[in-house]
Amino acid sequence: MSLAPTLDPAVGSGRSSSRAPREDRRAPVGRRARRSWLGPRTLKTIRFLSPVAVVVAWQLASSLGVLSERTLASPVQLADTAWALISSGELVGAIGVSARRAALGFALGASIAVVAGSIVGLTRLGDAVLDPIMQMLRMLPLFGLVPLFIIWFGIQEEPKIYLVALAVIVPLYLNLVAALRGVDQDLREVAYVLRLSRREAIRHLYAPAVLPGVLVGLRQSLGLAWITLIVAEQVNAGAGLGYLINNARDFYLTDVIVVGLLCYAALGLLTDALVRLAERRALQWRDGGETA
Amino acid sequence: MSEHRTAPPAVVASVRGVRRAFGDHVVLDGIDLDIRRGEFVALLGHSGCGKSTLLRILGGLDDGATGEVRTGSEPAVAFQDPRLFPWRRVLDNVALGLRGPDAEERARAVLAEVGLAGRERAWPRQLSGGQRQRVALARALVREPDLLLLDEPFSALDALTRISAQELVRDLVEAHRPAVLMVTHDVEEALLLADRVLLMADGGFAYDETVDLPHPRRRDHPGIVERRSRLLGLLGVGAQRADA
Repeated sequence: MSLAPTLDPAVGSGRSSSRAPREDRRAPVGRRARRSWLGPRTLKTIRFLSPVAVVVAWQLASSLGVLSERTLASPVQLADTAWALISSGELVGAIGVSARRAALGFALGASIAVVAGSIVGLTRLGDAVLDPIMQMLRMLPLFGLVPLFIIWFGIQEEPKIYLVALAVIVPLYLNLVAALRGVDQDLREVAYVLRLSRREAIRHLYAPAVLPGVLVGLRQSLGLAWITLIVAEQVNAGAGLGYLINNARDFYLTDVIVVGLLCYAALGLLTDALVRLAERRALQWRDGGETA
Repeated sequence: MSEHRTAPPAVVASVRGVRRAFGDHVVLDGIDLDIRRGEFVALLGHSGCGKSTLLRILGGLDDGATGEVRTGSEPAVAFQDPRLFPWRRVLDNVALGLRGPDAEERARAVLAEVGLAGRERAWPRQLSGGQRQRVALARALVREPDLLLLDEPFSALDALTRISAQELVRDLVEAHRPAVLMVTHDVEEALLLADRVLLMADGGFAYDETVDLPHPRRRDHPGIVERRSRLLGLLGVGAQRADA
């Protein structure tokens, strides 16, 4: 995601310099890219304007009657509906219910992943006992479990929370185990030579060493948690964003459906941003400049 | 076990009949060695001759050896590369595993001693290679070990940094008086720093001599020059080529 904006200007300027040969003949070599009409700043503006254009076209299509409201509500309509849902408190309540499911499922799944991952990554016996089970779990088709979960846990909160938990476990577990196995043997020798206790070794060596990998797993887990919640909430939800969307479907309220989807997206972006923030704070030592 | 001999300084590390093989390849074939308090021993040899293996056995980092190894208290080790924890600041790296209320105080003092006062809050990544190796030395010395194991500690440094690092080690050893076992492949370095030079070949010691010259030593001191030629000859390198 973060790679695209840094790559694109380079691609653009390379292309543009070959397109504007006449102007370049007089220009000094270094300014070639800047002189052409597709400079980095123009590209940045285009990058911003392109999605705006889509929204404008969408609104136009709706206003001109090309796009019927039953297919997709107009952006203006969406804003109206969003405001109405917010002022009635309906949306906040639904987000609260969904966020609670996500949080509980995530907490449960993350705890299992961290405990299992630590045992497997740090002990050979644990590896032999637990890893095959976790690998089996990994291969299960997550959404194929929905019918079983309904039989086992009913149609209330439990199946939704457990499904989210299951989705969270796998990426976090895999990344944690890989990170623990990858802890530098040289640094382990240092921990031994310094006679660090097990606690000290975990605090000063293992935990910081696996943190980058764990954060990657965390981001994958959170992304999957939201997707899983959306699917789980399609199943007989009596509250929450999924309920809002399902209800709206029955009445062809495409505006409510889209607002619900946007809420899911916003929640996903929010949790991702939180992890990235934690990442920046926790991994300061990597950014601390080169040799001074 | 049986070191009731005449020399007064106590033995801090004792190796008896130590054997180590990797597959069919025997690198240590019944090694005997005593290192006494305050003694600076340099261990020379071609790469793969087993000198680093012996050091790792003394440091408790090699499980595959047979024979008897005794070290007094916990030996400290400085490796070829600094091996700092990159996610801990310089001061915390030195204080790692130190106990007691004055741990931080002691870490600060040793950092100052290696010339890094003021860099306590730096990340290891922000230091130069030489500075990082000095942090590693501080981390080893802050424990006041009676045996300091140095595994080619200067070989990753550039020539100029190496000279100042060698001088620093000599000063630190003079101040703290641990026994030192330094593995190196640099004959001159061994002769400039050590009180006793061992040369390892074919699983045993081919040369064991006390270097009884005052410090600081000069490279062109006749005692150094003469020993260097002899050692280079034993290593199979022509005496006219100064560096092994």
